[in-house]
Amino acid sequence: MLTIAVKMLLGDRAKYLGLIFGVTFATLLMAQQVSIFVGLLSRTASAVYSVQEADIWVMDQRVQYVEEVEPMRDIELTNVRSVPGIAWAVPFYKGVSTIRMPDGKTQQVQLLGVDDVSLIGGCTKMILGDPRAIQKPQSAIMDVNGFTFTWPGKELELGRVMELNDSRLVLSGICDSNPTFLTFPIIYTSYNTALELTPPTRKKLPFILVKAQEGIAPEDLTKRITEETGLQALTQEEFAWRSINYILTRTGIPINFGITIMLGIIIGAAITAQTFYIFVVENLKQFGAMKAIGVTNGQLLKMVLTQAGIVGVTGYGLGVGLTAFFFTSMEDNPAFKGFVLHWQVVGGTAVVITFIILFSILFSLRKVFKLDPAIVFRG
Amino acid sequence: MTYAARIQHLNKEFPVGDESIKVLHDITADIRMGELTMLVGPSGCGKTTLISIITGILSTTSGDIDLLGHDLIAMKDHKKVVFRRENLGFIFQQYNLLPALTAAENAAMPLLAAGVPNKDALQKARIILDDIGMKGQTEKPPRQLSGGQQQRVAIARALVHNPKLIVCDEPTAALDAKTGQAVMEILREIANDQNRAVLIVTHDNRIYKYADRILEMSDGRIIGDFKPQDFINKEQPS
Repeated sequence: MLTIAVKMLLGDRAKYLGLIFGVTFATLLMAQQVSIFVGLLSRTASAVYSVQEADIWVMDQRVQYVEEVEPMRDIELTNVRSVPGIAWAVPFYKGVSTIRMPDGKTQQVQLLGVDDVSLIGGCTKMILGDPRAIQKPQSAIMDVNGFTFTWPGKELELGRVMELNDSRLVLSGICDSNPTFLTFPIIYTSYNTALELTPPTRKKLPFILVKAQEGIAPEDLTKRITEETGLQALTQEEFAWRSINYILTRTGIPINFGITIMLGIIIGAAITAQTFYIFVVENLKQFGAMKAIGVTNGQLLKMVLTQAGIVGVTGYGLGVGLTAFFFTSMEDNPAFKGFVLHWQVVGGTAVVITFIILFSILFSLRKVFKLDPAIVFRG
Repeated sequence: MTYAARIQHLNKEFPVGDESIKVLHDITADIRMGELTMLVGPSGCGKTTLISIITGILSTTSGDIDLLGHDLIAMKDHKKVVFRRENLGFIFQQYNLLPALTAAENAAMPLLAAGVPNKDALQKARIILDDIGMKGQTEKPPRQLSGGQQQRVAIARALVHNPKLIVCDEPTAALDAKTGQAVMEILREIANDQNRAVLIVTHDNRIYKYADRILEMSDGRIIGDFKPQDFINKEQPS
């Protein structure tokens, strides 16, 4: 009977393709949009995780996520360094500025100023140049995606001159950095160069990066730093999640993605349910005849489940395949760097598609189960 | 004389709102083995309801039915389904073949439903199809067959599991005269088997001559049990 079910399904090519399209569409939309959303959240956290050496981030109490800067007084660095249990504490500048090229074009950039001596927080995966180049005056390292974005089509080369707040800046290195939530090019300079490049203000210190002494739990040290300095201290994990939660709760991004994903689910379910329903209604007399000649509801259930299974597996496979193809084909596009199809998304989509399929056949099955086989005797 | 079905004092009512409509009134009749019995009467007289009840598709309001030696009224619904699958064959006015299947697959349906392996079921279906003049047509889908050929497939489907009672609903209504006669020749031959009975519901007066008995219905009652010639004479008074 299962062979019959398969033949019934494949025999109506238009409806079969309609069903496959519905499931593929829903799968593609869900898997692709969820992956991009997860990628965006990962990018938010990557600004924190990129500084692997630091256990703790110290900042003003008002800071809610990594892209928000509330500068502190310089003295706070000394205050933090005086807290017992700290192995080291270094300043870390983070801000957004605008660079001007010799041809007059401008470009917004993320300016990161790392400790002049230790270079903690700097980019280490160099493509061209030396990470220590930023210890020289007026020197900067740019991330490779930023370079191709700023100078599209140009060969990677050092020595290019930029202007930042009327100060000259020379490109002394190109590195491969993790993409962040803000898609502007990233420029690394020394902390002191960053301060020289930005307008003078009374408070200049955005973040302090801290390493706990061996044997001291970072969680305990954060409490101690807050008690003794009044500053907000968070472990790397806490700050990364706080940044993710900020995006989740304080921006419209999840709602927008949620709407797209829900539309995918609703449209996919609607197409699939409607096509299944029409498929059953058009074959109602045939189902009635089957019931009359002794095919049980249990056998019909197995038949419909087999048909649904084939549609689900084919549509889901195509949808996931297309999503994987999308991310693979975008691999070299800087705007999509860091966006990947996670196995959790693949698994989660499978669960949702299963529900869509079950929902879709629910009404059709009800119709078949309630079908009076006497229908076949009515002309 | 053995009976395929013995119906006694059968009544059927359908609920309509708060009231009910009685469509069968005290039906008492029998369907005999080795006979082709026709059930005739005007539209709405209760023929379809009666064969639906005889085949266990509809329940009765009151009365008794002995179907092939089994008390149909006492039989549970799920047993009726299995009983139908094993003992009854159906031929419908609109054939009700599955368009995606070949003639052989359609004909094999009762065997497949009974769990017979695909290969065996198809082999048996092809033999029956060959026997009723469908040689060379067994692998064609219904859309490539004429109306008469489709009805032959439906006949093969009704015979493939060797049922004792074959119930036909207007089997010639959708066929031209010549094709209808050919289909009736096949059904006539089936009914000659003493271990089988054929019950045909029909309006088609061209096929009355193939019957052994004709039961006439009117307003939910059986009003006569005739020999075919008597019935034909009654219908066409000189």
